Amino acid sequence: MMNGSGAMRRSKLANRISTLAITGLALITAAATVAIAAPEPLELLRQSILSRATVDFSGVRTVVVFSEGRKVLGVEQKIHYAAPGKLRIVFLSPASEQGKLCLTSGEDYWEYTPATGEAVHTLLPPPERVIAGRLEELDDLARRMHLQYAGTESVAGRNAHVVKIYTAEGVPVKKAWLDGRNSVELKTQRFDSRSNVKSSVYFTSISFDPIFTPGLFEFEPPAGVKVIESQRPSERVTLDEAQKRAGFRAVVPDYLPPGFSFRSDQVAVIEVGGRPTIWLSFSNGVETFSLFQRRGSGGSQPIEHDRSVTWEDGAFCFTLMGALSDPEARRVQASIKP
Amino acid sequence: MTCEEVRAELVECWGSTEQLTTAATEHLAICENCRYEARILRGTSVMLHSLPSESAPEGFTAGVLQQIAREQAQRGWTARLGQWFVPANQTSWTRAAAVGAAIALAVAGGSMWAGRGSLPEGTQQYAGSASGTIAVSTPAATEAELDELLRRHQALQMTQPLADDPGVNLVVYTTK
Repeated sequence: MMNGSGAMRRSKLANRISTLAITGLALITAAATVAIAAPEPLELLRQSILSRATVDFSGVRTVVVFSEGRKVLGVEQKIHYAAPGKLRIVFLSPASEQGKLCLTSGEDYWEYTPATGEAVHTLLPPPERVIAGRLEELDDLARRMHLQYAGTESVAGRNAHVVKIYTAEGVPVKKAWLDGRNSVELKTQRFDSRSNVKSSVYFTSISFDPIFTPGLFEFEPPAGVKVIESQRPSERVTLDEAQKRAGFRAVVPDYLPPGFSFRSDQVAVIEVGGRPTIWLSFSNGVETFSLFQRRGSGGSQPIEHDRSVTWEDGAFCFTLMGALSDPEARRVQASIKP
Repeated sequence: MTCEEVRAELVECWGSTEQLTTAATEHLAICENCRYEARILRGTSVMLHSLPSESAPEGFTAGVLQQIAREQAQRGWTARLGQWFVPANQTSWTRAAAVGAAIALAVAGGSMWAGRGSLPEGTQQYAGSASGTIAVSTPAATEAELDELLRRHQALQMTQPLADDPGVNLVVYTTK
């Protein structure tokens, strides 16, 4: 009887131990599943930046631009990328854009527009330095913005992690679809401060095993094409230093759109029309806008040019430039008080 | 979701599947007719965007101005001009002075027009003076200066941690 009771107790104990073990295993498995299913968004973005140093690809993508939530232009582009930093983009459609070319090869950047017969050459920082700088600034961005992992979706037939980037106030700034295997951006959407999509870029086909023909990343302006040489990258200094060099005080806007901040250690002094010009830049990590300030020339007619507005106020001439929506640009402009 | 509802959404975004609701996207995956509709709309949109912008035929503006002038002449040009400058309840000498001033301005404007080529490029001319021409409104910057600022700005934009590549910027910065 005693033996029977002891055996029963042992059996109960064994049952409890096995139940605990199974529960523990289940919990560990669940935790591991969650960890796999929900990657860290900051790490995904970091891997995405690093992919620019390691992953080659060729593909076709669509770029759609919206204004106040309505589509205004759709462009199809053929894109080749050889890490780290060689890029060739050819515009396929619409007909008005056909043949346009963007090409970076190391530190040289070319933009060629057959319709105007012009090729613009710009010198860029070395691609390795750009990638290192982006990684450095990503940590700063993660402190200011809210990053969210939003599961997986399929883009161009590939599995992609979705990461959303919001301002601290909860305004969406960017949504990125990153390839599940190599973190290359397969699709991105950018938003304005009213949460409308501003632009959407997505691959319709992509190959990570591309074959590049020799000379694909080289550009020789065709005969008769006007070559415009752009200025070298500008030295960035502190605001105080820039004001000393320019000989006047800079005016900083009172209003910045959500998520944007003034880079007071990234100010430049350049020359525009023979006049020293203070160049302030404002960034939310995804995009920037610039404010150029120089002494006025007596010109009184404001100019709107592509994504900029230029006007004179008091003794100064200002140019506000960037991919801001019209209401945002107007609000920033109104807050610039010399 | 019905085909009609999906097509209403497609029309809103010119066939772009980017802006569709999830339900509409799911419907497209199983409905060949609606996919065809989306393709047609996208094609139409691309065609519309590729059309050159229309401008008025040569001489159109001059023709309209001449027509206005003829109509004004039929109603008495001095009376109309005087009324434009000075309300009808003013004395006749005030009206005469106003018309004289207008004629003086027109003469000065004519001499300004004749000397147009002598002003710097980009300077706009609105009024004359005794000494010849004066510029009353000039642009705050030249196009070449703004192009150069744009290139500098775009080079900076490319260094942002989560920025798009230059191919995207080229589209975004030339669209407004």
